[in-house]
Amino acid sequence: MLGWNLPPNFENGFTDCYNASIYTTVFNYAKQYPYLFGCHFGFHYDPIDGQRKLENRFQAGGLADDRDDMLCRITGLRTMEQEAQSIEELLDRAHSQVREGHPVTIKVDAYDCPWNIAYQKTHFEHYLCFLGKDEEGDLWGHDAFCGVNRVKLPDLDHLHISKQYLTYRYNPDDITIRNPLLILREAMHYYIQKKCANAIFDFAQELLDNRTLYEELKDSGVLCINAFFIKLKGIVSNRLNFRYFLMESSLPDTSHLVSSFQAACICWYEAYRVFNKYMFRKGNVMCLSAACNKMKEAALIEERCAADYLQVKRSPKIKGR
Amino acid sequence: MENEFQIKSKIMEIIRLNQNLAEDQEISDLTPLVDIISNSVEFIQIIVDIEDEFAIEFKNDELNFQFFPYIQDLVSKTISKIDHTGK
Repeated sequence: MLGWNLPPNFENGFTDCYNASIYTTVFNYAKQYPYLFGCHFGFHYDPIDGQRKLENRFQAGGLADDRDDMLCRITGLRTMEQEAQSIEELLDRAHSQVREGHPVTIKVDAYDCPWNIAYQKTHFEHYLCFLGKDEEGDLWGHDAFCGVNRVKLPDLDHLHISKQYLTYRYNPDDITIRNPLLILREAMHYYIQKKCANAIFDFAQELLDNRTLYEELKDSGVLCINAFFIKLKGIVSNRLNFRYFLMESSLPDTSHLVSSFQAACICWYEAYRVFNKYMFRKGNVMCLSAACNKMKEAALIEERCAADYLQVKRSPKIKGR
Repeated sequence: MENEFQIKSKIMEIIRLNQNLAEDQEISDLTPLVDIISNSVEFIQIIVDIEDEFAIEFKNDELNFQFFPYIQDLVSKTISKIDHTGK
């Protein structure tokens, strides 16, 4: 148990700490780890709708929309949400799970975690994956979202912790998808059928037309733990991890696809960084415009990748842009 | 025109202020940026401050601290941009 490691692609970043915890478990405990990232290629956006904030109207999308089902069919891993009556009971159960060789995910407050950027600054839900016990009998695990190996649960006296936790069971007989080509084809179908490129264009256009993003976000605290930026970074990370899937799944004849998709990853990452600069430049329109245009460029590349792979015609809406 | 030493000193000062480095924490030309900057957001804040200090502009595709392994790389890029503007 002490030999468990951080997933190899943690430096790409993960969508969020909850998923990072699941990925850590799959990598150390289940099968077909790289295939999982074929499910994270998409984009979903809802146009302006009443009072819903922008950060609640866009999301990563992809075959992992039905996350638990895809997780089980690809890796054989099932997640089970649990709730204890007290913190003491939760810790007892966590120790018991780990003793039996099963990982446990616990929700803590990032405010209490010394390795986290929110430490003693901001209260923020944060999931940690515990995998074993150290020589002193304390739970230890990984925080793949922060890229930190071997973390301990913070001191109980100062701990803000949820009574809900997550356990896992692995059964290889539950794996029904063993061919990465099938995942790739379904991922590309998803992108075309759900019109993800159009959604990216519309999202970027709303940002450009309204020009209110800075005003909406300027008082929301530390930028990188702001909900909009976390979501955007998650989408960038998904692209990098989709490329990881393309490269690590022994897919035949995909070298051209990998190099094309790499260009989309670069566009997404640049868009994310320029959005950050836009905030530091207090809503500079040039920065906003550059970031939105990079997202549109990424969308065009991605749609071309999917359409070329499936050998289908591109949608008329995008074709004319 | 500011000389290289002055430019380097100002960049060091910007990094120190942004990263809230302790007075006794030594940094030099050869300090890897990854040792003192933990994410791209921190890096972009430093770039924006450098832009303001020297009235220069980094290109959008340069906003990546992987392109600047050491502080010296950031100093050199800043100097080349100042030279280019003719300040």
